[in-house]
Order: sequence, then C-alpha cells, then structure tokens
Amino acid sequence: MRACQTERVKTLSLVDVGALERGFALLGAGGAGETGTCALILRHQLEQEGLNLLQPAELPPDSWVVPVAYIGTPSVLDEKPPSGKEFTAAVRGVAQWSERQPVAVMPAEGAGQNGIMAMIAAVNLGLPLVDADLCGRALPRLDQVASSIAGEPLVPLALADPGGRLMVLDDADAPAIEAIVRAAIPASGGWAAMAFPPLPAGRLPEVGVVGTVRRALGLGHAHAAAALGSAQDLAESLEACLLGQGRVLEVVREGRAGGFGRGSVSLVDAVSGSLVRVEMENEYLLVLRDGAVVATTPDIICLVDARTGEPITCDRVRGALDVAVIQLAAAPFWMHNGRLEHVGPRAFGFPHDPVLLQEAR
Amino acid sequence: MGESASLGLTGLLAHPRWRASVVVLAGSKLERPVDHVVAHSGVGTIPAVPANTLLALTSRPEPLDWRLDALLRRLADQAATALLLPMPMSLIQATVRLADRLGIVILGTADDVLALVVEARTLLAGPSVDAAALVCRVARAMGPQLLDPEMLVKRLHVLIDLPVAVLDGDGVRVAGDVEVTARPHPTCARQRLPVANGELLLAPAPDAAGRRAEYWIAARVSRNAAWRAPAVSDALDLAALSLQRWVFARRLVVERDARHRAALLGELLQLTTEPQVETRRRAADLGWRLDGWHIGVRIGVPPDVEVLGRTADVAAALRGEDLEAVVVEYGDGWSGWVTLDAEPTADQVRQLSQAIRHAHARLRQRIDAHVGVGRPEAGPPGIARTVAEADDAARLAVGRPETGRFLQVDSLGMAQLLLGWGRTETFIPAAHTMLTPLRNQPGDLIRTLGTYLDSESSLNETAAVLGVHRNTVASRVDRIKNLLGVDLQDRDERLALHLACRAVLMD
Repeated sequence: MRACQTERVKTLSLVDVGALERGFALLGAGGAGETGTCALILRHQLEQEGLNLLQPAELPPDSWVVPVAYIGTPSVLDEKPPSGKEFTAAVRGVAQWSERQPVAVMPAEGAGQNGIMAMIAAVNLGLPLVDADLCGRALPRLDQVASSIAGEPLVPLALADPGGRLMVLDDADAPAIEAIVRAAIPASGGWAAMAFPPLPAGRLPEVGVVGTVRRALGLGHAHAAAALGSAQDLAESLEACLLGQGRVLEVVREGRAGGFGRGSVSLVDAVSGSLVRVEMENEYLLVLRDGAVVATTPDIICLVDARTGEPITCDRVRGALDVAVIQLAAAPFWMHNGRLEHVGPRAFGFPHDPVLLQEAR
Repeated sequence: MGESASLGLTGLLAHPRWRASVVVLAGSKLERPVDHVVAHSGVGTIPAVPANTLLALTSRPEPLDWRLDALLRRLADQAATALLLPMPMSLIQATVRLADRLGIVILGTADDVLALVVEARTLLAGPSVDAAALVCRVARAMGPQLLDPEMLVKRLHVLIDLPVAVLDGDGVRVAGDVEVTARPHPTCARQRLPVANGELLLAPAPDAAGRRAEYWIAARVSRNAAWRAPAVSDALDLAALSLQRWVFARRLVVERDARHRAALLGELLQLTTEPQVETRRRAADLGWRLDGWHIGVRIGVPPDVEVLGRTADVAAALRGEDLEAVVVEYGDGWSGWVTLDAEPTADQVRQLSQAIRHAHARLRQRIDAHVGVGRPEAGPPGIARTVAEADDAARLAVGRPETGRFLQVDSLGMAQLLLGWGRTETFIPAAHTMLTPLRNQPGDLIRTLGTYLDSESSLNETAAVLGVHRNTVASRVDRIKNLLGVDLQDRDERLALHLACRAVLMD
C-alpha cells in the first residue's frame, strides 16, 4: 500500500495509533518530540470511541477550524503531564477573543508529538479532526507556519499553561509572536497548549497543508510493513531516497545554554565508503555526502535505526549506532518559489540553495 | 620551474620556514605536487583554483562548520593538493576522514599564513631566483675577511640550514659535524656522493694549479630536500672559493716562516701513529700531503752553503723534472718527499729515482749537493721512515763521488753491503791492479766505467751523469773494453769491475 494512496479513512481508532505515531515521527524529521507519552493518553481516550477525520471539503467553506499545538521542551511533558484541560482552555480563549467558534480541530504541526496532541485536543473538545496542518513536517519557529507565510495573521494566539493560566496575544507581528512566546514558556511551567487563530475551512487548501494526517497514516502503515527489511526497501516503501547507511562515526554539538544548538552527525556509508554528514539543530536540516550537499529542508530528512527502522530524534542520536539516512519529499505547499525561502536552508542559517527531491514551481 | 623537479608538498614542507611552523592535521598524500599557492579569506566562499593548488585560509573556520567539508570537496573536484589553516585548529573526525578520503592534505600553522604563502610563491615562481638569493646571501656573508674552516662552517650552516663540514684534500673531516662515510673522487670538481637517506654535496677548494682539491666543502642534503641541491651546490662553490682565499693567504704567511715548516717536519718525522687533527690541519695549510705513498728525498749541502737562500734553486731543479715534492729547509740542506696516490711499481720507483737524479744533476751546476732517496712508505708514519732512509742514503752518498753523490736505498740495502766489502785491505790493492790499464788515459775512464756499470750499461744515463755526449761515452766504453780486454757482457767480469771501480773511486 503506497503512502499517498491510502484509501479514504473516516475514523481514527485505537488500531491506527501505532501507525500514526510512526508516521508523525517520520514527519518530525528528527524533531518535534517523542510520541510515546502522548500516544498513551490518546490510546486511553480512543478506547471508548474513535475520532472522526474530515477533509476540508467536507466542511462548510466558512466554518472555522482551529489549529492547535503543544509548545515547549519535549521532555518537560513527561515531568508535567497535561491535565487535559489546557487545550480546551486555549481553544476557548482564542474563540472568545476572535469571536470565531470552531467546529473542528487541526494540528498546527502535523509531526511528532504535535500530531498526536492535536488528536487528544480534538477528543477533549469533542470536535472532529481535519486532515490538514500548517507545516507538513516539523518546523521550529511560529513564524514559519503555512498560514503566516500565506499572509494570514498569527493573532490572536492563545496559550494555556499547566498551571491553569491563559494568555492571549494580539496585535503583534510574526517575529514578535515568536519572541514573546519563547520568552513566556519557561515562566509558564515549561510548556503550554497553543491555539492559533481559527481558519475558514474553504481556504485551508491555500493557507495550510492538506492531507498531512493521511500522509502520516500511510507512512506509518508502510513503515510497519517494511521496517525489518533492508534500509533500501524501507526507503522505497516510504517513497523516500536512501542517502546513506552505516555506523555513526561521531556526533558533535555546539554547547549552548538553553536548547542544544547546532550539531553534526557523521557516518561512513557501508557500501560506497562515502562520508555522510547530517547537520541538525532541532531537526535534521542538511545532508552532505563526501562534502557535497545532497539534501536540505524543506524535504524531510530522517535518521532511522538500520535494524528496526525506528526513527531516531536529534537528541537521541549518538556514536556507534547503525543508522540509515532517508529523505522524504516536502509537502507540495512549500514547492512554490515564494514560499521555499522561509523553510529552505537559508532560513536555518545555511548559505546554500535547497536540494530537493522535487522541482519547485 | 628551473632545473629542479616540480615542488612536491614534502619539498615545500622541508623548506626552512614551513618546516618550522606547519603541521599536518589530516590526509596522507604528501607526495602530491604543489604548482600554485593561493590565499583566501575563509570558508564563506569557495574560489576557483587550478589543479595542484595549495589553498591557504587567512581566517580560522569553526571546527564544526560544514562549509569546511564543502570546501574540501570543491578543492578535491578541482584537483587541489592541500589546505592550510591558521592554528589553533582542532578538526572533527568527519572532516579528517573526509580529507583522507578525498586525498586533500590539511595543514595547520601558528605562523603568519600570508607570510608563508609569499614564501611558497617565491619558491614556486622561481627556484632560480631563490637560488640566486641564497648565493647572494652567501656571498655577502663570506665577506672580505678571511674565514677559517670553523667560522666558515658556522656561517654557512646558518645560511643554508643544512649540516656542513670542511674536509681536507683526502676527504678527512677537519671542521663541522657531517659524518663522512665516502671519500671524494680525486677529480677537482663538484661531486654528489650518495649517503644514508640523502646525498653529500661537495665543492672543491682547488690548489693554485687548479688540478687538485686542497679542501672540500660538504653539505648533507636529505632525500626530501633533494630539490635544493642545485642552489646549495652554487652556494658551496662560493664558500669553497672563500676557503681557497683563506688557504692561500695563510700559506703565504706560513711559507715565509720556515721555522714553522721545519718544526712541523720535525713533528712528522717523530710520527709513529695517526697524526692529530691539529697536525693534519697545519699540514693541509701548507699543502703537504700526508696520506698516500711517500718517497723521501734528502738534499744535503756542505755547511758553508746558505740553505734558506738557495731553496729557490732546489725548487727550480725539481720543477724542471716535473717533480712535485714537499721541500723543507732542514739542517744543512733540505728534506722532503714526493707523494703518489697508490703503491708504486718497481718501474715507477725507477723513473722517479731517475727524475730526482736528473734534478740533482741540474742542481749540481749551482750547488755542491748530495742526494739520498728513501724507499716507498705509506701514510703519515711512512713519511718519517722514508725521509730517515733518504737521510741515511744522503750521508752515504757524500762519499760516493763516482756515483755523482746520489744514492737510492734499494730493497736489500745492497749499497751498504758493498760499501762494507769495498773497504777491506785485501780488496783495494787488487782493485787498483785490475784497473791499472785505464789509468792515465784520456777521458777519465775509471769514472766512466764506474758510472756506466752503475747505470746498468745505459749510454744515455751515463752521459747524463757525466755531463758528456752519448757518443763520447760509447767511444770511451769501446776503449775500456779494448784496454781491459774484457767482454762487458760477462756477468762475473762486470761484477768484479763494478766492485773494483767503487773501491778505487772512493779511495
């Protein structure tokens, strides 16, 4: 079953959680947190009944869809688990402030933890999930989300922290939002549930990335089938490109207070002997093979365990692991020249043009 | 590129300033050529470079910077040779591995990168320019003053940054600290001798005639630095001339001091083992050869002869027979020796002896001299032996007017034996009687016969010694045969007559 041709799924149930976890992990490109903890919560929630999954076209065009996400250090979630009320508070806050009552929920970032979190939020709110997100992959900054790039405002933005506090931001531009939110998080307990300004369902194809949930599901299923095979087989089943496979030679990181900063993973490809080097920060960003750049953002770069196929996050990767480096195509939303620059290598501080599986339009 | 081969990376790294401050951080292909040296600001941009380039960055990249890897790749794509980075610099494993894989050498230096680039460029752009610059520096350093071998070695070592030594004419070291395991060929010309892991460059300081090296200047060049040889050889030639100048100036001074020479001769005559370095030095200063095979010569004169003033005559007489001999005023006369490279054959000894005899004959036109010649002896202790023999022979020669007062010590010391026999009471009257027919005849027949027999029946030789024409000798010999009624072919008769002549002539 090929990833992009999953038959139309209407309901997400317990049996899909495993595939969704794996799929969102792959879309996380080494970042966006571990899905383990929140998947437990979701499984518990889905024990009783499934979650409806809607395509944007199935909603009235002027009905509102609210994008939600968790923001903060991924590991903090294990220390301070959500009570379940945070997303409800955030959505209510943004609905009140914007005077737009949402009828459905979508992930702001359909990758890693946030893919699963959006589903938890949907169940908590008793609303269906829309098969769309604002990234198509993990992205580190709020000002990089699709709606903002497409010209939609990032405000009003609501944050509800585990201490029960609610913060609503308005009348600020994207860079300011990013700066204020980052500054507020440590003070609010290390994480917060975020609700973005609700978007009209009819405009989602223009201002969002449609089909991300379905993609995650498809990837997850394909991965399950091919995980224990060869790295080449796995890459092919994911419609990805295998960039190299071998034992990790070295992981070096810049020491920086607050966040792990820039880092570099290198390995020697077992077949060709090439030196494969992956640059990372919060996600895997750029791949060099023998000193030549062979893959960059916004394509999705994953490192998977060569034996189990398990995706490995940036903070888990270490020397002597046997890994495979694969490259998945970026969502079509990004493949327009005007948008690439916001999520391409230069947006991450790499003075290099994007090197992608597909041509930009 | 001049006469040297293309400069490899190892060659560049052997150059003094580079060797002192550049280390290899990654890569192993050190034998790759370096044809261009380019300076560049940093890893931010990648320059287009020709093949075999060494790229030097003036700003230090961060060790984690992926652009360093990208630069290596682009350098490899352009067939560059190496990358020079400012230190301190610690590369991550990925970069070291990549450099190795791509065949690019990464170098680091704490020295000024631009200064190194300029230096390398000078080397590349014109090794001949660099060589000329070296020769000019050497010329300036040699200067107008006279430098003895120690000073010369010290200055030269600093200039060319190689081990340097001065050797005497036979290839034995007299200054500097290069281990010399091979002897230079006697040809007085530049030489290159192979030694362990490199070669020895030699330049001769020739004697006045330019035929023989009185000294050699040697420099040791390692295999890696072989490309420096032409420039270094030129520098050595220059230094050798400076040394030659010193030798001649010293010799001039020394030659005026005859006492010094006599003293040295005195020392040499006491020698039983290898001479000290100091003795060798003093001998070399004077152009005296100590190694080889020596034949001692003693020229004695009556006490009333002014020896110091007549040395020129002696020298002229020897020169006239093409004899190169050491001649020292010593006592009532001169002592010295002729040196040959190898042990002489009997023929060579005979020829040499004849030459000395002829020289003696010339000399006798002006000075009443008697000459003794010793047997061939080898090495420095041999000088003492052969000169002593010559001395003894000369003493004996005084009383041998019939032989022209010339005596060469032959291997059996026969002369001494005959001398003994010829002086007995019984023999002399019999000798007189035997030769009576030759008395009171014109032509001094007894002397003629004696000389003829001494010369082994050679008419020419006899003529030379007696100072008359060959035909005269021939006719005299005929008359002698008639008068005595002997056949000079008969051995016994010849021997008897020979002994008789000796006895009578000495009486």
